[in-house]
Amino acid sequence: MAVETAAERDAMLADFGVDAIFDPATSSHKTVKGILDNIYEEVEAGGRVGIAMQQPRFFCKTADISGSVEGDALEIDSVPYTIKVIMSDGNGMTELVLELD
Amino acid sequence: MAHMRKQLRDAVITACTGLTTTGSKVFNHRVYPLGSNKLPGLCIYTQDESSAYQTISPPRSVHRILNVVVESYVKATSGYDDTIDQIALEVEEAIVADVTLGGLAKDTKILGFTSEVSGDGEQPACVGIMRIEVTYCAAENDPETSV
Repeated sequence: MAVETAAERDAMLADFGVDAIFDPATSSHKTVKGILDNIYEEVEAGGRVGIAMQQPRFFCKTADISGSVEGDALEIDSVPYTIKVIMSDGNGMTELVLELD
Repeated sequence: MAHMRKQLRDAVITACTGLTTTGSKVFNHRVYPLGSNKLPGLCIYTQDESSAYQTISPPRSVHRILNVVVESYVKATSGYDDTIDQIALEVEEAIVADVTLGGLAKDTKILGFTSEVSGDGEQPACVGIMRIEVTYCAAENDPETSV
């Protein structure tokens, strides 16, 4: 059972969410609302120093992106991304790991 | 003059500066993360050194082996492994063009290479780590001058 209700999710997304254009390869695009977490920090890739870059993640309702697969497109504020990982929490919300095109 | 380690490190940096892929993005003993404007880039470090005394009477001649690390950093949506190998090609050619590093070293050898990748950021990040061994000799009372 989810901690929050569907109404609470809607309220959270209404307050903190942004519109994104979800463009799956197999159907037409649509606008979905979600929270973009795009922190800029060091990514450790094995060298003595890291690489500083954004780490874009998008949190949205699972139902809004049903049928999505890795490789689908998502555009936020005119910035194009490719969905690389889809991580459903099993309770109605999904985190998308995004790659900057 | 400076310690031979610095002179050798500077020689490696000079050899690796201006290469086709990394250009002037070459960093000496960098400790801070590399931003996108510094990629593709190289970070060069002198890591450790071993010594062996070759003569008996002071001032003794010291045979030294200095390990230098050349790390290449790349960020791209695709082809990052190819870019890392291209950078390795350019670095190897630059180093082997003069294994004495301007007359400072007895020999310079490329001992090995590893690469690692991360998908945590907005694009894949790849690092190539090249291990280079520089052999030189200096008198124990004059570590600024190779002999």
